[in-house]
Amino acid sequence: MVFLEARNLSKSFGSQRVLHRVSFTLEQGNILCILGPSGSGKTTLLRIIAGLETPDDGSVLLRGRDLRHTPPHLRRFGMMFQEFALFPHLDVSGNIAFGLHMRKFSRAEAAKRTAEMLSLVGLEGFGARRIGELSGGERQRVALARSLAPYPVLLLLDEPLGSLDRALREKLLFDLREILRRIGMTTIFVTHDQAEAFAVSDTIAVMDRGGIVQMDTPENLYRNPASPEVARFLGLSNLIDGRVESASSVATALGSLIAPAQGLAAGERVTVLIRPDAARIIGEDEKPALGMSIIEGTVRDCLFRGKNYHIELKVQGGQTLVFEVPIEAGAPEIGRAVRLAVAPGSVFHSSR
Amino acid sequence: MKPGRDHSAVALAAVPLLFLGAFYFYPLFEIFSVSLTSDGTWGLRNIVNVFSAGYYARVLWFTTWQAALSTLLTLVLALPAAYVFARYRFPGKSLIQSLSAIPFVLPSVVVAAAFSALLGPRGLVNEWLMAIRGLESPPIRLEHTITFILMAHVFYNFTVVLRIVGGFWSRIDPGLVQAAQVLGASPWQSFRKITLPLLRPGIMAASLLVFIFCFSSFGVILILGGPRFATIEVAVYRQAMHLFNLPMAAALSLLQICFMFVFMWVYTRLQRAASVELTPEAGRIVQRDVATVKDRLIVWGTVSFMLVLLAAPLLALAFRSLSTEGGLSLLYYRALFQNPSQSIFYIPPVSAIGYSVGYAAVALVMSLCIALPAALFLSRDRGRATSLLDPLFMLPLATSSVTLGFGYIIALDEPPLNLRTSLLIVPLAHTLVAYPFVVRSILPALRSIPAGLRESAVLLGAAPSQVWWKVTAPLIRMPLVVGAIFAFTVSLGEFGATIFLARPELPTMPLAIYRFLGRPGALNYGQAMAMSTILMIVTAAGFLLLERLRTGPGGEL
Repeated sequence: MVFLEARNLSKSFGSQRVLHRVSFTLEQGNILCILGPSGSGKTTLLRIIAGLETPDDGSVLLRGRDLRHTPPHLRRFGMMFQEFALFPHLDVSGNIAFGLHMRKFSRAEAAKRTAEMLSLVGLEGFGARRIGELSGGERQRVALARSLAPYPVLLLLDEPLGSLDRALREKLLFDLREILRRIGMTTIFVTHDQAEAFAVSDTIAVMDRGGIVQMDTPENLYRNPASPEVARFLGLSNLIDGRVESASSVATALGSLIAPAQGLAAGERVTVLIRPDAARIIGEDEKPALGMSIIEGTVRDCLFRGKNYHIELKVQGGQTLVFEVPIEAGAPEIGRAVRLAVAPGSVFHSSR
Repeated sequence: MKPGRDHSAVALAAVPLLFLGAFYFYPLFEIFSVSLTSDGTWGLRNIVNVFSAGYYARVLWFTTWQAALSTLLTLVLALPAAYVFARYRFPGKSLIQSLSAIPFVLPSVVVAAAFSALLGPRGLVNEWLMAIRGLESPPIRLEHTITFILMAHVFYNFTVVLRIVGGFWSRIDPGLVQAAQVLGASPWQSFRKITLPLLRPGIMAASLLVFIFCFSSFGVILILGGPRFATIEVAVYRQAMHLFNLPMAAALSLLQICFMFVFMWVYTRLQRAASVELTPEAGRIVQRDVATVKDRLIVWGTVSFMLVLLAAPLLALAFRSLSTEGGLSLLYYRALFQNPSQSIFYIPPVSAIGYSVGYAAVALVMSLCIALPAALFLSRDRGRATSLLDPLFMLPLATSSVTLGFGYIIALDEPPLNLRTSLLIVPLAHTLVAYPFVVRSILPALRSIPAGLRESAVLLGAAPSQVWWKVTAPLIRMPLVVGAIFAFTVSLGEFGATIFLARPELPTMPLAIYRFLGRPGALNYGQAMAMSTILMIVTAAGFLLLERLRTGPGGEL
């Protein structure tokens, strides 16, 4: 049986349409990530599932039961808010035990569960601290412990790492994933950061302008983005206009590129995505490996990134493309003309 | 710091200190000495008398419980409004918020007159009921009841709770309540467990402030309560002016002074604690539109309730001043200009307006003369002298005006300072009441002027006087105007001290209203209404002007 189902959810604030007929399903124990730019409606979707907003249309079903008339305090969900929303007048234990007291756990049970949660998030001994004394990372852990304490059936995370600095985020992201996997929590995770989404989720739903544009596993999503917009949002920005030549090649300003264009009529206008990885600088007369295309351009910039060089390449037609090339070949000189062997990318119908 | 500067600092501090010494501490000392001496020897006999006589215990008990009950009622009635103003955005909100503060700034005499105009025996409601039902006597008998007093106190202090608690409420992140709900708290539980504890400092501060105002209530009790009710303030007045029992009045004053100091001290402590507690989560203010039917019911229901509570007495007052036996007319206003032989003043009542304005103008000038040096001194640095003198300069705020008036008549009627017949005694008392507000208005502006501004003017060749006229003065002009308007309106409405000090033939407007209300006859009542209406309009206009200056462009508060 489907655990959670969203059916045709729509919501407007005044004249502004925030969600438009959004549907998806989620299996028990899975982690779904809702990924989208700010303003795409992802937080509103999460708040509707929590019961904090009422949809104008559509419904949320939990194990087939419509939640329309269930107020948030009876849904038994856990939620972590963007700014954590920790209660400033209670200490750490008071915050974690709050939901347990609300659900009528006995004093002893609540104390036991609170201690358990503190050790789960690695904050043993922090129970009596005031919220004002905690660092950002500690607050994040308290918020997670608080939302997990009353045995929620579903955990909702609204940009749980959004207000933390970069270095801390990576560490906490790892911890978060580890904790969620260990307890097998069914989770919906909202973020605008694709690295977070890839790191944590079983499934990613990409949202744009109030709708889900693609929903798939992280691998499939990265391999086959459904549109140039999704590709751009995933950080794949090498998009070039062209026309279909044959089932395996597209004519562009850079010349003919090998690309999977099966099922498209010759002459049709398309956009080709060239992946930044799997690119290699090749010599003047070197032939590319089978199935690889060749791109020529001038190196505009080159950054050393540890595992590879990040280069900006100005190509014919004036566009600037970015690539990651292996470091073994040495740093390409800025201003020099180079030849790159690149892997075939995806081909999208041009809507323009 | 150059040695020359120290001299000027001493000179600056000397002005307010000398004024306070002569016109605050000296009268206060006289109250002490009168209440602690009997038959020429020092002792506690008068104080002991106060507590041993049943009447005075009853006065203290009444003062306390009516203040507590008034506070509780104000809190309960104003909390929903505080919620609505903190959480919703709706058209006309800032206007309604400004208007709702008008009752608070009205002179107590005007408030009493307004309630009399609405619900008194000659009030609108009774007149209508008598006309509709053909009754001989007014069916609603609220005059001289505790209900009447409580209503007036709620009317007066509603805005205190609305502003203070509303301010706290708007700074509580709505996410906290939502987090509580997701964690399983019902709306009532999340209010009790989250919102209420977070509001507590605000509720405590507002409650204590309202309690202080009601504890030292004078005009409202004197006029609406009649002879049956007396707060300490009213008892001081009756002992001193009706029974001429000065030692007893002094002992009661001393009691009042002690209570007020303790309350103000607690209030300052509370405020400090509140500001500390608020800092971590004080952040963005989240307000929502009035969207659903439920929102509409909550918002417009609350706003209508406020309008009925706060506007009805004032509208009744204005209407009553125009409604004569022969229909609507300006009869009572015209009567203010006449001087019939049986007049209670032997002069046209309208001259009270002239005296009031004259006193207020003098009080305004004196307030600026005291407040400006005080503020300049306090803005210089934040050393020990400043932290000691700042609360000292504010001390008059913690002293009721009745105590002040009483202190003046026992202290300033004999050498070394004999001002009994001086016209200055009234504006002097008004100055003492008003100047702390002027200091509070100028000081933030002065402190916000960066030192570099004055220093660069000096380096550019400006003499100290030029620095003052070209740099400092223009920057504090607006707060000065705000302080001046404040001093003027405070003086216009001052009642508690004036009733002790004004000469019978030179009454101010509040005194004239009080005397009119105490006389029989429709004409006297109508004139009380007319003069109250004039005073109400002037005070409200002054206040709205202040609000505009403070919040409008160029305002620095």
